[in-house]
Amino acid sequence: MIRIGAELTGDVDVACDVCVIGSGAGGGVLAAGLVARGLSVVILEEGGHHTSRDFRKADEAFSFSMLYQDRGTRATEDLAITLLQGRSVGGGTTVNWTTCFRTPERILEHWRRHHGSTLTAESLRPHFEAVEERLGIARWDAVPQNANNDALARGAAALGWTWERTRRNVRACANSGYCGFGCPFDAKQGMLLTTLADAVAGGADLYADTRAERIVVEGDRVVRVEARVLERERTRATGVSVVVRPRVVALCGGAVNSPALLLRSGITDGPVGRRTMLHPVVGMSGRYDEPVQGWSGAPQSVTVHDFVDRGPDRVGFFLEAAPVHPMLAGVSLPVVGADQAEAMGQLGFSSSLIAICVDGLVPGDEGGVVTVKGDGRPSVAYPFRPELVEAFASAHEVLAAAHLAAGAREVLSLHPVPVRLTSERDLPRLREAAYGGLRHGVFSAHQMGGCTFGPDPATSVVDLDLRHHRVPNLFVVDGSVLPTGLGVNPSETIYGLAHLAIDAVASTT
Amino acid sequence: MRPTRRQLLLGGVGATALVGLGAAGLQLRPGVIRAPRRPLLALDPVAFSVIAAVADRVCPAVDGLPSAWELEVPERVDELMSRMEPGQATDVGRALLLLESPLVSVLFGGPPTPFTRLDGARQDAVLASWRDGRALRRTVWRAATQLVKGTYWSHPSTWQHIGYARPAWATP
Repeated sequence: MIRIGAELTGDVDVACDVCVIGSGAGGGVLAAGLVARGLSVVILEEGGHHTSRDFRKADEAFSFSMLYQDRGTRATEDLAITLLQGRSVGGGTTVNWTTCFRTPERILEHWRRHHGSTLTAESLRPHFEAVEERLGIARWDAVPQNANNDALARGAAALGWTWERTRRNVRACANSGYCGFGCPFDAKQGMLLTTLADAVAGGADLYADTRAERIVVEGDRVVRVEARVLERERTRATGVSVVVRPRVVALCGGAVNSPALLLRSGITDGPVGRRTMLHPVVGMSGRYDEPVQGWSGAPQSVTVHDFVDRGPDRVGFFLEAAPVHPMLAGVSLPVVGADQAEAMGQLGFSSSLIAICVDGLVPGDEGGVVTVKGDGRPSVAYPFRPELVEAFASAHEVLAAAHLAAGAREVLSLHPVPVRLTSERDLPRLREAAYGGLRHGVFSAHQMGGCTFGPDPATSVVDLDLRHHRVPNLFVVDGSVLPTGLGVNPSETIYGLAHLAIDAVASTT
Repeated sequence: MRPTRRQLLLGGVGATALVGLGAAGLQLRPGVIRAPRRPLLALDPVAFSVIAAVADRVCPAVDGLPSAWELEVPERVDELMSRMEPGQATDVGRALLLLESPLVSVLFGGPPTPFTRLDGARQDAVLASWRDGRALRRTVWRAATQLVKGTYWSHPSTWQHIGYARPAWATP
């Protein structure tokens, strides 16, 4: 049963086999697997329960306010990186753009070499196959890519780069372009419609609008989880508490929130909050003579990975397109005043291409750090290392080249005073621009790390079974366990790891 | 871990001094208070007035677009802040106080005048100096402008300018 905050008028105290904290990519898959094993499961989700009935409002302000962390305003502490991170039943999978990749072998090999991992493509294969079947993950060949993605494909082809169609977790997709608002047609196979539905149908209790405040450990065992019910419209406690007394806790709140909950709970063993990876994103806007209307059609259907491995000492990046509806565009374009009005007037003729930088691979790159403020809110500090700044500069040139090769009449950077280019001859001007934090727009839609896995308690928070090193009935099953960026969109990696974790969690009950 | 510069500015020991300096400056020379058209939910009158002034400059009524004031952007920012964690609204309020304070302005080489008392051209110049200043000021600039821009462009009255429309399948 799904219980929403407004219906919870009295305190709750419940026992179960497993308490799953967070209902996103990790929590959804794990909860369904545990229920299928006959275990009693309670799921706590701080966000609200929204459905396609809400999503059909097609209201960007509503969606960002209700479906994203911090009402859509989450950012690093200095506001240099905007963090798009989901917050509702289904977590990030309710609002992501549905792009799916298995974990690249290059990353698995890096983890084995540098982080003590034993994961291989073969050991993960059955888990990926299982989630691909359940979530309908398949290459998106249903219709031609939209003009926004086609600009990337055309540019890549003209420059001799390899582009490919993405795989997406959709069924009967209407190609509307509103994935980021929550799917209005129930086509997106996020956790909301798949694994959480399976878990609830199998007897799980899901408490929405309910924030886990503290995991209580006595000795070396978790004995209870203390949670508070929140008003959905305002982030305030209603005064109703939920206490869960499980045999096992699976923390699935995602990067940022999972380490923050451990820190709030005083479970500070190991590098909690450290190695937080953000896949920092930079973008360039290309203006075309023909309409682009990048807000319409599947958001991401083309990808280019030619630049993801630029050598051991350089930060790589991969290319995709970004759908920009008006609010996100307005926030992303750093110009103001009449310049902003002019830029927004061109939005329908603009393609937004992005480069997603792969952090955590270059020697010494420890990513960012999650801490908690005095009032318990998470805080993310993220340094801009020289290697990342160099990648930003290179990515700008690559993105501009792609736009120009695709036929853009003008290309603009996301600097407060944009660098404008109209031909390849202008590309060197990008090298004169400043790069780094608060120099231009930087975004993150992929948050990873903070509770990394590994065999050594000194350098990791959970072991290779995703079990906490000191507290054996505590698991972390979400993107926070990933020790590096992935070089691909992370959702399927999290689905696969969560599926892999089902056995270990179930056997601990 | 060492505190970040923004933590020092907005949440740490340095914050108390700088925000105190900012508040003292406004005691000596108050800014212009704009009257909200409905009761404020999260922002104080000073923060509301700064947001209103920033919105006027960041989202002006040009090219047939409505003004930010016309779209009640300051009130809608206040409403958004009321939905957030209380601490977030406090952080934003502090950032806006710094932008408004004449003493803080002087500290950063600006005019000894509250932001809301400057004419439009000088407000544009101050905003540009915060945008191009050191990291602390760029953070404040980003906080103020992004709240305004997101709120402004999410309003359907701006969409004709973009060529954007709510899809036919959308429900009210």
